[in-house]
Amino acid sequence: MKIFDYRAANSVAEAIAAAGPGSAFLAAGTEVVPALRDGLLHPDRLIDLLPLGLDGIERRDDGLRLGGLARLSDIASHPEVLASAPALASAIEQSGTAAIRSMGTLAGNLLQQVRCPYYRGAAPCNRRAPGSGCSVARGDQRHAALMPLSFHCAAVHPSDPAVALASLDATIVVEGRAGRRTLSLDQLYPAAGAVLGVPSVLESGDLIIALDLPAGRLPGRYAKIRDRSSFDFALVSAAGGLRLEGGVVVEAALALGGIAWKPWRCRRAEAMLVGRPWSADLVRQAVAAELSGATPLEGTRFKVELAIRAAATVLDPGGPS
Amino acid sequence: MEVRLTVNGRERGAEIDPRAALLDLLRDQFGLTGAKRGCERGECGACTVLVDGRPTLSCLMLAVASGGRSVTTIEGLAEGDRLHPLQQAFIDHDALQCGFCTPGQILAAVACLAAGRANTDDEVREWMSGNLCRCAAYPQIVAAVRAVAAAR
Ligand SMILES: Cc1cc2nc3c(=O)[nH]c(=O)nc-3n(C[C@H](O)[C@H](O)[C@H](O)COP(=O)(O)OP(=O)(O)OC[C@H]3O[C@@H](n4cnc5c(N)ncnc54)[C@H](O)[C@@H]3O)c2cc1C
Ligand code: FES
Ligand code: FES
Repeated sequence: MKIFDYRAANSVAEAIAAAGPGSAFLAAGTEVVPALRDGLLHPDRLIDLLPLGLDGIERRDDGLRLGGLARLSDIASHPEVLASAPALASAIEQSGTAAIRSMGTLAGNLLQQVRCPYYRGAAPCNRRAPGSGCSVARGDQRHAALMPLSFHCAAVHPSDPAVALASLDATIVVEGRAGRRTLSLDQLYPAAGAVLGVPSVLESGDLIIALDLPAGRLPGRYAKIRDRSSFDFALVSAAGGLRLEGGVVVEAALALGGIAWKPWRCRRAEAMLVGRPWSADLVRQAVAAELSGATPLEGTRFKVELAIRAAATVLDPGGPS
Repeated sequence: MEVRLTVNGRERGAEIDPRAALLDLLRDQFGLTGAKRGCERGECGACTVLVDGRPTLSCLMLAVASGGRSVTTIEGLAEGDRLHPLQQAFIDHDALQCGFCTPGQILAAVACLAAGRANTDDEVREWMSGNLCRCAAYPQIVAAVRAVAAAR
């Protein structure tokens, strides 16, 4: 591990000013520390954000504000979150382990790198070693994307909370060198076909201050399908919910995880659901239509059916609320 | 770099390499070898300690980032000669064989009880799923944690 200069940030302005080409932000370190050990990250300077606080959870007129450095477990057990965003609480409860949730921050979770075994191993990987190739094409495809970022990388975004946040229309408040801006979850992640390597579009000095959950959204549920019943990343997950009036869908929200390089908000499926009488078959058709543009690999084809089933779980009006 | 923190109720200071993990500081500089070095990637729980009361994987936390915080390791759980109820329960229920995972299991269990998540066997299993035991003492570990929860 290369030696680095450690700085504890005393203010947001100081943290941003201290950032530069060779620097990295540090929150709880659950992602950064293994990346340092594996040589995936080799900063000259590490800027510790935890002294900033930024971990409050507050009710505002227009919704809930979650501090960017709020710990995952504190979010999941917060009464306001449990009341208005149970999908998020459930997604967190199904992430990692008690210690990971207790340490890990929300911003750090959204900005974690892919878990693709080839990225974290020694085999060719365009994300780790641009131009070396993507080992997924001839390798283990079980955890790969149905809808890859590009021909060069088939890794999925591993975050569970991000999927719930996508279904809840969360916005991300970023403070950077040019001041403050707000991004949707979709804008946080690279656009399809983008250049590889970075998990998000944030640049050096961009600091996630908070996440805003707008009021009045469907509270939703979270369903995670994984190989083990605890302590495992998702094969496929779904977050969302429905509102029916007289059996007709009047409101729907759905996001899928484990199928792309970002949480996949299913606008097309939502549009197909709204205005029609709810049926299990309608949900199946809507999700199938959403995924009709996918080009599955031999080893990812099964995820189409998993996605339909995960979506059906959260879009079942008779299911647990 | 210089770091000052509280370990098991005692103020301590050390000169450290910024690359060192809290686990390295505890084991190699303070001689507190209860927390074990297992995977060093957050996957086994052998290094679990409490930092400001939070269950923490000391292999994933930089030692420099622990300045001003309060750390509890297995060495600090007993009160004099009186074992912590979980330590006693692990003995009573035969919840260890080689003992390598035990300090981490017990600190995870302390946090599990504090969070009120020991109401059913399944709840304990879910909370403790990050603490692997290569000797597979899992049924006895769950029994020990549930026994202490029931006695409260
Ligand atoms: C064993 C293991 C299992 C896991 N399982 C799951 C799982 O099942 N589901 C899941 O969703 N996640 C899982 N995770 C991921 C875990 O939730 C994240 O590692 C954690 O939330 C990251 O937060 P952190 O504070 O430790 O981030 P750090 O490691 O400190 O930082 C991560 C990244 O975010 C950047 N960063 C951090 N905060 C900010 C900020 N405020 N502004 C800008 N940049 C910032 C850092 O520079 C770095 O690039 C797992 C992790 C481990 C180690
Ligand atoms: S050594 Fe820390 S989790 Fe394995
Ligand atoms: S008792 Fe041997 S690893 Fe758990």
